[in-house]
Amino acid sequence: MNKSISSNVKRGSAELAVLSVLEVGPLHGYEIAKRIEQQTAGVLKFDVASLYPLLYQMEKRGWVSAEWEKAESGRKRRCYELTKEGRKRLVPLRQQWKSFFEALNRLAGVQNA
Amino acid sequence: MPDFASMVRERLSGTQLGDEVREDVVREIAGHMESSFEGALQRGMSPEAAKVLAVLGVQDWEKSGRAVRNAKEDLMNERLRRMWVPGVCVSVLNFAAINVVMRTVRPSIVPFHGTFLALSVWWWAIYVACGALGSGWCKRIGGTPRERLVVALFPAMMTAVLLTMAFVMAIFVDRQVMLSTKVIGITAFWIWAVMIPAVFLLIGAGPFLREKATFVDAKPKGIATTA
Repeated sequence: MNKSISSNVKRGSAELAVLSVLEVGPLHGYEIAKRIEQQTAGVLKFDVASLYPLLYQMEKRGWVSAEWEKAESGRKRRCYELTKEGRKRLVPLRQQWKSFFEALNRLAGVQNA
Repeated sequence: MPDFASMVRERLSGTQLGDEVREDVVREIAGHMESSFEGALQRGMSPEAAKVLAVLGVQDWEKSGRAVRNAKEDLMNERLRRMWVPGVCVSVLNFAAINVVMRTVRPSIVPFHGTFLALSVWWWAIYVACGALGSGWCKRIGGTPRERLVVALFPAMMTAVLLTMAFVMAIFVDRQVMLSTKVIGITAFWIWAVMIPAVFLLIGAGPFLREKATFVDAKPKGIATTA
């Protein structure tokens, strides 16, 4: 797989991952990364360099909104919340990835690999 | 708790970002590192090891800075494209149209606390049209309802800024006129040039504030579909 395809697949899957964890409720950046890592048993991991630029771009597209909130510890955290637009986006995104994996499965039997 | 904010600030000092944006990014990344540090402590790590783990979470500072800058630049450019460009263009068009109408159509004169307000249906029609044009333009290029509202009110906001500056200058420059007279004059002018236009701009923008954006972003990257 060449580099551009690889990075595009990573990016597309990252968008789906972030939108999916935010579907449950608002979270700050660290929690988003942690949940994705936990729920994928460590297969998907976000570092700062990949997570925050992605969140800022999703904010730009109007898929998530962000607000500074005060945590119990008194520290301020920027909480991200899925917008209506983001929720709407998640539906075709899920469907497209489902079709993508079904197609790959038919082609290469990846599900049983 | 280690001072992660100073560390992040220092490491991102070479990243070209505005001060306010940079401070937001610093606070956010530092918060991420603090959470990572606390999580590691809770899992039984020593403070030294937890600190190392938190710092390692940002593997490449140069890459992080570059990626954040690109994303933030995109965000700023996008706001510029969605709000400032239509806002300024519609304001200029609005001022030009009002100027033309002021020279050609005689307005109705209404007394107001010892001064007068000049009112014209044509002006109102221009404001309605400009409100619709601004919010419709913003909507078409993907603006959120709040952005559409700001763009629609742009001509009135620009006038408000100019009037406020004029009022401040008037207080200090012309001392022969009583302050109360200046306040009444400015209030009348505010109503005439800001508040009434704002109402008509909002009337024009109304239909575009309710509807969803027509702009559809490109399909998510990384997925090949046949449709």
